Amino acid sequence: MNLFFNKNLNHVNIEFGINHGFSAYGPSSITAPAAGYVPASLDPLTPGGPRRPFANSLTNSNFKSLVVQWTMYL
Amino acid sequence: MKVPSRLVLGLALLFAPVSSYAISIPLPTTEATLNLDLQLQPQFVLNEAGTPDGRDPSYDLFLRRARIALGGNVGQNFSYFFQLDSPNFGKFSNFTGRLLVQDAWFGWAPTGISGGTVVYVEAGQLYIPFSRHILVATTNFITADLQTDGLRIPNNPFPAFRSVGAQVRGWALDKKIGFRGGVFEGYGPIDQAAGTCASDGAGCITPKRNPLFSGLVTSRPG
Repeated sequence: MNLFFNKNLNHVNIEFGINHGFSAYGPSSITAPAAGYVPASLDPLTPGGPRRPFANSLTNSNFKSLVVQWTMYL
Repeated sequence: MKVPSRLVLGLALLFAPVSSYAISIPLPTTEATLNLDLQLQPQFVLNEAGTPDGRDPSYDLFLRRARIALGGNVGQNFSYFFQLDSPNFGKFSNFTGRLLVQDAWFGWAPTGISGGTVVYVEAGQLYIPFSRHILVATTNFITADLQTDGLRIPNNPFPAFRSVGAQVRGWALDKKIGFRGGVFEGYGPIDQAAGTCASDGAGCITPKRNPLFSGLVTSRPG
């Protein structure tokens, strides 16, 4: 959803995403070099086992993301 | 439900339209123009299972872009543009300095900078023209940001898809055809992880240090 207050000079984007693997702002974007950690987003392979770090694979279950961005241009 | 008038007034002031696209700085000559542009893009990102233990959503509030740009024309045949950016300032709580020279170029249009057909010869730090999507102004994306999920550029060493080079850019047929293409610095061994580019060229992305060539043509029907 894009809310325009003055065309593209002043507007707010509200974006909802569902990502499985590689993505610009999903769990895939949280990397050790950038964030200092890789989230253990993946469920354990076996019940009671350790959670697994996120990997860029389309076989992952989906992960929801929300982005709100306010653009101001002068 | 009645919305408090002060709230309405506050929101109206908050989102008051800016007066123009750029701040025009007066110069002591009419032969040249100088425009100042400011751009701020605060961004909030919420990711499911994004905390280190993966059990809770992560939150991040940062400045996706904080830019200041100077640009303009000199006479009827020259243009220039210089832009500084501090991308992703505060992302993942990282506030270390990252001021980048995002764009720095000048262009010469031998037949003039306006009209239905214009050809620029440009040099400097330029967009690498491999996709129209990345050429769109960052305020004009339909989505919140660039859709880079489909791009696979090894290590992506290019700052916001720019590189130093020279190109020919312009439009023709009453702006129905657009074109740009040129030669750029491209990959260097320093863009690879240490040790992956051997002295005999093995493992190097560009073992001969060839430059990067890129270009595209766009059409606008109607």
